[in-house]
Amino acid sequence: MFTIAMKDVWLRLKDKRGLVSMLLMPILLTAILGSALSGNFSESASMPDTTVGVTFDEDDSLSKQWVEETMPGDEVSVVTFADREKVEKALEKQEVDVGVLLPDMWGQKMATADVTVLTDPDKTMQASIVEAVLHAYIDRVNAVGTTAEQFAEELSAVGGVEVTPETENLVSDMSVLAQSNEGRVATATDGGTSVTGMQYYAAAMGVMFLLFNATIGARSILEERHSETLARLAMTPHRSFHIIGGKFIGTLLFSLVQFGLFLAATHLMFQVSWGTNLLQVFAIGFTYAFAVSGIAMMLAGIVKEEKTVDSIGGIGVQILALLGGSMIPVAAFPDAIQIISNAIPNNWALDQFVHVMTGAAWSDLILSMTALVMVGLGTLILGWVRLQVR
Amino acid sequence: MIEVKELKKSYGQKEVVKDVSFKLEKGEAFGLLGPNGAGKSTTIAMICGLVPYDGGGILWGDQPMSPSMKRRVGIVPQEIALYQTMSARENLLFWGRMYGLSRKEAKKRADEVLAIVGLTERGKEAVETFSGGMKRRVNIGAALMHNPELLIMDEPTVGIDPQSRNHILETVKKLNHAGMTMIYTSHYMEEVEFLCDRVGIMDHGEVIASGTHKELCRRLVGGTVIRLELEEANEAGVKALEQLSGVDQVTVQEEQKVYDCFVTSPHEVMSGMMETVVEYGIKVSSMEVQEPNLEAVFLQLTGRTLRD
Repeated sequence: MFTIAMKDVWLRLKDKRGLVSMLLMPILLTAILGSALSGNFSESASMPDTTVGVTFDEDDSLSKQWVEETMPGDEVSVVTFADREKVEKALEKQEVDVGVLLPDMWGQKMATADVTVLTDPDKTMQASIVEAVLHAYIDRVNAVGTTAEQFAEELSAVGGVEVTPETENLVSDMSVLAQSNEGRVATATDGGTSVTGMQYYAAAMGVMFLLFNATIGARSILEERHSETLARLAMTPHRSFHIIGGKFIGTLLFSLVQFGLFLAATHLMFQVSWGTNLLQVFAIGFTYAFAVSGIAMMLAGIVKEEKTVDSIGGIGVQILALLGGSMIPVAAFPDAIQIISNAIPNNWALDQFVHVMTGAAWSDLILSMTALVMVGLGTLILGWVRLQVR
Repeated sequence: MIEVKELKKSYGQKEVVKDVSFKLEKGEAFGLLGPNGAGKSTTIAMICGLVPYDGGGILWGDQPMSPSMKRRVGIVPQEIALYQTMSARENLLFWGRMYGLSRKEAKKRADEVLAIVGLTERGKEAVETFSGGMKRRVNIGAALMHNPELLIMDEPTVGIDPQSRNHILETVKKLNHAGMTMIYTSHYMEEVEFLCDRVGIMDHGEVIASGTHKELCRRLVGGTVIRLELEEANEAGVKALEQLSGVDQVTVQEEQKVYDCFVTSPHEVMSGMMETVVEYGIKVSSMEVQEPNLEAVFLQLTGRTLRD
């Protein structure tokens, strides 16, 4: 079994073109995606630099508070305009990214008044974030108002208390809450710490390119069948499970070699931190490679032609990688797609790598690792049965 | 040493091997001769355990053949079943290990086998860079790694140049002389005649005749074949040839243009034949007198040549 496995690893290491695509491509893609999309992951840059053009009633204290205190921040600057026309012109000239038209005396009719947000079609993301900040502010102010009202009613009912100063004190305290920036910036965090773009895409590309071993492993069996070496193996004293087992271990070993080299390369070249517990990283890598190797055997049992396997490698793996979050984090998908993503082994592996990067306990990983081993075993058995029938 | 008894195999309704039986003694070379599709490779595949048989049996001594006995058998498949990107030596080492040799034993034996197949100097080169003949030699070498008691070769010289073919035949002959028992399948009559002590002639899944070369030729009615190739068919002329005294049988091939006349004494028949050719205006493009051989036996038994 081990002789067949070692032969397979040796053959793959001799295939220079295959090596380039399996080792250099993930490193290259990690570098490109990790650098290009790092902004989506760092805590400080979750929103691009944005200028908001606003018209508001300067006599209204809540409007003034939102314009001068709540909205501005490191990435957001606010420019005030006299009227809507001027905001629209500024938007047209791209002097501002988003326009906000607060109605007169907005603070007094916040629950019912309409606020207009003018959007540049190219900057919908900034507009969405400004809208979200606006809604959050309205909700908080309304909550403060309702609470103050309730508080005054309760005080009146008790009697013997000066309602007005007490209510003013409360409103003063709660206005701090209304001004709060909570929820203003959406950060990509997991657990207590956030992962950088480079970390995320290192894990994502590692997972995606390990998945290619499913088609490479299957192709190897079909090639052996085509070249009659599989028949020759079957004529040796070894039984079929030795041969399939050898092919399985070969795929597993190569996947582990690939993963080990990728891990070292991303750490040394891009200073990617895979977390503090390397044993956890290897455990996830091993269980995922195990699942991938099983899938390879199943594919070889189901598919008859090498061309079909190539198609699966070309399209199927890309789709699985996309659904599994290797291109875009799964959190960015609609809920329905996220449900599908949660059923995909590569998503489990990526999720677990990110967990380990942000600090995870073994108990957090056991379920996914067990599921990956079960997938590997199930598909291996299925593949073995199918290949025996063939 | 090995006995094949009434082996049967069908694919669906088609019976591809029908009650094939033969027996080999230690050190003997047995040839299975027949055209493509005769059932030779299926018979070999069943002996090797690759294809299950529907009936009959295979005995090694007096024991049914088991997977563990495969260690005593070396198999040279019809296809070049090697890893093309690996070197000849790496291939030999791998196949040696698959037959249970230790790493050390395999290394030692690989050098010996490379010498046997005449590839010592090119052992480190990738098989994909070799000519067809050299690949065939490595293909045989892989089967010799574990020094088998029985070597089974399924058309090991298909599609190679005459020089490589001769090298292979000489090598196989030497191995047999050294005591290795072998089963050799081919549709090349000369190879089987050169290598094998006994021959089984197969056609349509059956062994239609078997024996030594001499025994088979003795069965030939009219031992010599006079082959006439005509420029155009001439039915009346051929009928006249068949009627000639001394002509035992006439077979016709290739759109009525090739006639094989089986005769016992070619000298006595020749003058009569010439007269008939002239009398009936038979346009002869070539004439050849063939001594009794297995090709002629096959031709007489089936009405076809081995290469049909």
